[in-house]
Amino acid sequence: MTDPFFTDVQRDALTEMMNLGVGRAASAFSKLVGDEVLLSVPEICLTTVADAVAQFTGGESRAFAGVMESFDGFIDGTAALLFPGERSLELVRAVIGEDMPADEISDLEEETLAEIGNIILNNCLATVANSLRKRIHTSLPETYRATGDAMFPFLDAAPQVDAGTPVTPMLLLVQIDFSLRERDIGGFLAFLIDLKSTEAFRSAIDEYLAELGV
Amino acid sequence: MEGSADNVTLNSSATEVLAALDSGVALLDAAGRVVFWNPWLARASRISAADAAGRSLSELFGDAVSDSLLEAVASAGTYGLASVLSQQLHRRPLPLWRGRGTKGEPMEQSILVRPLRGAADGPDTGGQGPDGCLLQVNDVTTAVRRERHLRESEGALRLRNRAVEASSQGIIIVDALKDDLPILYANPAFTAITGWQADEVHGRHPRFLHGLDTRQPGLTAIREAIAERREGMAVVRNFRKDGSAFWNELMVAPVADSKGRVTHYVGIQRDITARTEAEAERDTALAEVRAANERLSREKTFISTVLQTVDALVVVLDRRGVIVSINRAGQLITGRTEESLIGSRLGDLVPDPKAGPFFRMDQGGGTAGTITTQVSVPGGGEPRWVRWSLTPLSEAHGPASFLICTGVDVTERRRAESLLKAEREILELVARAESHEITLEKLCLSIEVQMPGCRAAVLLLNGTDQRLCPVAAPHIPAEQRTAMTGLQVAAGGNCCARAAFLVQPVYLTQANPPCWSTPVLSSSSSVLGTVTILPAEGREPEPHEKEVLERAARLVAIAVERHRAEERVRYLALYDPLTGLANRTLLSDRLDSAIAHARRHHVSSALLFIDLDGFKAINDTHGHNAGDEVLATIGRRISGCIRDCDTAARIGGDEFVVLLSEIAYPGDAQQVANKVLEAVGQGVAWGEHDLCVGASIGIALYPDDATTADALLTRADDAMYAVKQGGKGAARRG
Repeated sequence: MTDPFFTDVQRDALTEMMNLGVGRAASAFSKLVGDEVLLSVPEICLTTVADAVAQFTGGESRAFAGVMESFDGFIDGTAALLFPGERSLELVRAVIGEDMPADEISDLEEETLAEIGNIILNNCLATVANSLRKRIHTSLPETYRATGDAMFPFLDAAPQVDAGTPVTPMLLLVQIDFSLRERDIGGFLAFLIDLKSTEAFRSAIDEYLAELGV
Repeated sequence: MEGSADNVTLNSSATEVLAALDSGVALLDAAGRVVFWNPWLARASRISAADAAGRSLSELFGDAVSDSLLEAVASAGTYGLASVLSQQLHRRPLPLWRGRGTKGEPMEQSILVRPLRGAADGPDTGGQGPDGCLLQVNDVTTAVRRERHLRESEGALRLRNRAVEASSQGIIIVDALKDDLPILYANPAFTAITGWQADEVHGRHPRFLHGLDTRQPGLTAIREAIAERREGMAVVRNFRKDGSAFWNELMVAPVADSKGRVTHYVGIQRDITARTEAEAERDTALAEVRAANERLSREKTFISTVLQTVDALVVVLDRRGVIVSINRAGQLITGRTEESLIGSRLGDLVPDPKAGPFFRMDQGGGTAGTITTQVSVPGGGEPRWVRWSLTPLSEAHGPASFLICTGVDVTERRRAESLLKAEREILELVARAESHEITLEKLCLSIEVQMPGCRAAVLLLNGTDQRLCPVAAPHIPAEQRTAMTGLQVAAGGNCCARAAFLVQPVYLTQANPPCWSTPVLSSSSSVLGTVTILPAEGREPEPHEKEVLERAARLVAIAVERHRAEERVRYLALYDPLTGLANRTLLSDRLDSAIAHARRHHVSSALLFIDLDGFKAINDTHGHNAGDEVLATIGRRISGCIRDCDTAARIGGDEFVVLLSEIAYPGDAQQVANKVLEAVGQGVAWGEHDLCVGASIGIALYPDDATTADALLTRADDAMYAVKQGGKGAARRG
């Protein structure tokens, strides 16, 4: 699949960095919960918000819950961890080792979910920034829930207006699978990168590739 | 809170704000050293701002600070990454306390780590690192406690819910605060029982379950319980969604809130239709069995009563002829108890060994039919005769397994038959006018057959001296026979004499020999003699033996009376009843015999024809009775003048004939005639009178005067007339 944002080489480099970041996140989790947590990245893709919405909802109105945080630095944007339906709560319960059916999420659980998202997103963003030898700031994570089209409230965090014309931002979607305590929970990482940052991102990757001699 | 720190310093107003916050706030520089430590943190950590200033977290808390926090601080400083340390994953990254002094408790924390941007750290530069971070510590101990409590209650509630959901009993909860008691909840078992889904019944009054059947006693009980706000339980008939009825064991329990107000009712239902039906079926089946048992028992009792009461023997045998059951009649006849009989063979009770196999199906017997056998009785008693009807009994279609033997005691009947037969024989003998002695002897033998072991004799009263003499005693030894002869009828005599005297049976069991005697009575109840038995042992006769004796006595009476009547007839035919002399018929017969005898032996006979003189005058003067007395007396006197072998006869009113069957000399006849004249001539006393008659006698001799009877009579008659003509009172040969 070709995309309008990156060349194959750039994309491969990005995938590698994401893998590395997710790997670090898994290691951090394992240390935290005292149990092995596996995180895998079967696929990453770059797409538009509209396509992503269509892909996620499949035309149906599905509930989503997740954690998002904004970042700025060499690129600006919003990063989010997304789970279909009640999987987020399930993930929290799996992480804290409680064997209770998903029901209402409590305040403390919501905070835990925020930390989970924080760890993954921070690791990914830090790994990318580190690899590219750039600096990046992240905000504190917030949890949110949404349905259907409103699934990406973080879109509002970076209004895409360029010279008065709405521009479709770049969305980096990373499918991830958690595997811990005999449970498998699938979710997504979504990195919405401001259009004005995409060029900086591309050149940073190119620099990185150049240093590697690719 | 985007803190904008200038070289990590805070202006005073910001410091005041931070001091007033209800959370911990610390400002760390790029090296992780405390720049600001608000009072909340000082209180919770027991470390004053002054003590904290300039020291890193590790220096302040040592190992008590968590690695995660140190890493978060480092990554905020190094990379500018913001971090959350949630309570659930970290619990207490810092050793902080709630409350004061020793009463403090460990604080559950949630910590936010925000990177602070350094002056050189602009959005687009990206080169320089941040200058430090802001630590915000929130006390979530209360939240943790609340959530734990909540979770525990939730857990308990969930458990309870699960129990309610999983219950096999239908459960509904209704709102007691509303008048129409709407259903708030119905569990899956309710749906399973009634067919109604939970959402179909929500908000409805539970009465729809009753259908039209609203006046059941069970419902009344439930309504009363609800009215009194107490628990109630009843069995009610409810209807499913499909309209079918079921039996519902319903329990209603009120649920009260903390103020004691009933807010809900819980209805617990159990479908007991199957149980109710099963119970009903069981009851019906039980009742049927009981009824059948009673019927059977009644029939059994009835049959048993009948079996025990009937005179017939009923014996049940198994295939080997062993007694399985025997009724009361059977026990009476055999003289044994059922206990002693059960298990023994019926064949063993039958003296005839050939009869045994008839009762054994395993030896080819036991076929339906009849057989008459004897049955022995204990103690050597006389065996009974039983006529058996055999009926094999098979259960279902199998081979016969039991033999029902129904027996009738025919002993009496056989005796009666035998007795009748004997009687008939005796009566035939009597009817044939058989000899008296032969008839009675036959009777004795017959008695001995009827009464085995006994010896019989018939004694008759002698007509002349009224003494008893045995007439028939075929098996009585001579010695006994002698003892029986010439017995005087007396109260103190022997058995026979006593019976004849008392005119009733006498049984001497202690006498030697023992003796039973029954008097023989004539039709006019006079004693004719006795039937006497010498039994084998000293005992009373059995009833049937008494019967035999009585019948024998009657037979003897008949035989004797018949015999005597015959003799009387014979006498009347040949003799003159007035004088007891032979009549004309006998005379004629004797005369023929005498002539035949005389002719054969060449001897003489004589015939005297006697006619009385002066008899008519006596008759006329003194009457016929006087005449008859004279004739009877004269007759006796004539008889006294002749030998036994001679014959005197009266052949007319005053006409007599004497036959002298054999005379040696003709003068002998004259001599007899003279004796007769003399005898007749003597007076006959008649009251005060002495009646005198004379006689005229004519004599004829055989063969001198005539050789035939008629001729002899005529010659003698003629000779008598000649005497009459010659002056009467003489005897002369014509």
